[in-house]
Amino acid sequence: MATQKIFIYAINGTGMGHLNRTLVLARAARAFRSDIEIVFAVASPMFWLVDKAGFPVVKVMDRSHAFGSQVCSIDRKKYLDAVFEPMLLSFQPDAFVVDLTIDTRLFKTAKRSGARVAAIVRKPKPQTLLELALDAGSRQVDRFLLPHPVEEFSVKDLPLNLRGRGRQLGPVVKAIQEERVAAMTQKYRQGSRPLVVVAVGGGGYEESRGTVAVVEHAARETPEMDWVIVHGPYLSDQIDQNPQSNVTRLRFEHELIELCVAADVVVCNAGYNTIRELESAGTPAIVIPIRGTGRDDQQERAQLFEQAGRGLVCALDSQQLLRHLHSILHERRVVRQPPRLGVPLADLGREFLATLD
Amino acid sequence: MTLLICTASARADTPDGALLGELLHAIDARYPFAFSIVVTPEPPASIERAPHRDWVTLPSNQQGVWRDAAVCAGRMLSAYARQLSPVATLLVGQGAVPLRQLCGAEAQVGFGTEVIIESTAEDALQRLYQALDRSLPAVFVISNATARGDVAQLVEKHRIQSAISLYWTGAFSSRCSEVVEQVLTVTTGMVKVQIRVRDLLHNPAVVARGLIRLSHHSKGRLQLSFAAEDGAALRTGKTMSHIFFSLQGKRRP
Repeated sequence: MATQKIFIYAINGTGMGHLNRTLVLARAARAFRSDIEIVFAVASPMFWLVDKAGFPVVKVMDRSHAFGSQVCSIDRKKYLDAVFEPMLLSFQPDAFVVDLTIDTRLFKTAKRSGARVAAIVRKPKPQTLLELALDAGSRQVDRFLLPHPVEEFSVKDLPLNLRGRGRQLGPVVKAIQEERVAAMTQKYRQGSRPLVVVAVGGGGYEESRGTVAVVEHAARETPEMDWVIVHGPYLSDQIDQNPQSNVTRLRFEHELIELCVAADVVVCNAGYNTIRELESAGTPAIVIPIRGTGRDDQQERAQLFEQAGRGLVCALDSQQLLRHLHSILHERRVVRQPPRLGVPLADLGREFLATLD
Repeated sequence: MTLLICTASARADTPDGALLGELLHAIDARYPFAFSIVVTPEPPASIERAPHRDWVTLPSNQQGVWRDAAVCAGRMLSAYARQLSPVATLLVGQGAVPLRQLCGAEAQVGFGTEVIIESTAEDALQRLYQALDRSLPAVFVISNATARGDVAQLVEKHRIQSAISLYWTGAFSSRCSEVVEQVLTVTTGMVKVQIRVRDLLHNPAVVARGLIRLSHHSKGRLQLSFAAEDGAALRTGKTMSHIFFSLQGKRRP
């Protein structure tokens, strides 16, 4: 039976990846079939992004919150099930899509409501992949959806016991709105001055702060350039603007991918969404991978990005950042690629729905 | 200490939302270590991520996709109340009363002291203070899963004098308590406390005595270990990992 109702649960990591990725998929599914019903449960305080996109959304408690694990620890095993069961039984979805939590009890409840269970698995570190294979909850998953090109992470890379249920989804990335690129250019570019955009995802990682600190130092050394730092909505600090400086600070930019297209260089970490968006945007990038935290391998992703000739990997070092910046702007060590415009979202939607059927 | 705050609308342009805004401001000022969960079907336009507050929303009929949205919302609210075991449930505005009633059939426990707030903010605050101050002195909450940094620094930072209290959860139903004898040592990376534990709900007698030791885990987390004197009633394995852990005491002058 064709999937008609989808319930998506985007957990809240420290970044924005889960929410962004699932939102792209939901938009794509709707672009392919306008009659499809999709609801979201998200833990992120940015849940209004879903509302704005026109999908019903319920905000649930955030286990990544500073106190989240504490308040949920009273009976953590029952928490998800207790909160989700009423929604699942009320909505009765055909598919329950998680990005990503593995929870036997929750999945059993989803199945009781008549849903198939699909888990979106972006390429994890080897240890995390092993844990996924050994987790009893994985037995309840009907589909493991891989949001990667085959050459990066394919069904064959899944452990044997998951492989038969693996499906290749292909890259999941926002579509670039060409007309908004012009708007971003007009908003942030000043004449011929180079524009450097800094994006550190959600901003919640401690290491993202390190990236911002390095960038700030580099910005002070380059008064001839304009910098736009997008700190991320999860940065707990206040953001101070100094109109006299060459740095514009934003907590969040809804049209970040268009802003990246408008930039000469992007400085970023190597999160899944950031790298996917840069591949689309075509803008040369200096990538400072987060090494210590996260379940995915940013180091590997950054190296692949560099090998593809799209950017340069950089240590957490402002002097190296300045050298890379110089080599991109003046030596053209990395050449801008034309942005991928007009990628039909409906194609991704068709693929997504096909994996769920 | 966890507060569950229910309101029919948190939008600033509604009377309930405006009252909620004032209340949250006052709670922040007076109970800086309280953790509030705001439950509402109508959230504000945007939500700042705050360390002492989280928000949840409930399904509503307006969304048009839920079968029996009100029942679904009631069951969710009930689930939150059971999970959080709040010290108080604040119902902000008349519209919140039906919200609370929705879960009446689902759960009779776990809502803590209930305070219905429907008057001016000033009156509401006085009632809130009265309700909370009766049993709650300054409470400092840390988590064995989230606390970072040196324990001694933590104690010093929060100027905790001597008393330490634990909220015992998991195996022991919703609200238990215990008496702390004294802090024995506070050294770099470790606090030793002698405690007696009492299960107030089920067994008012002292069920265990011993030393509780907070030390700095190698992964940067706070580790808690318990050495029972008599070793009798406390299960130190799984139960200890479910401790909802708080430091409670008077501020130093």
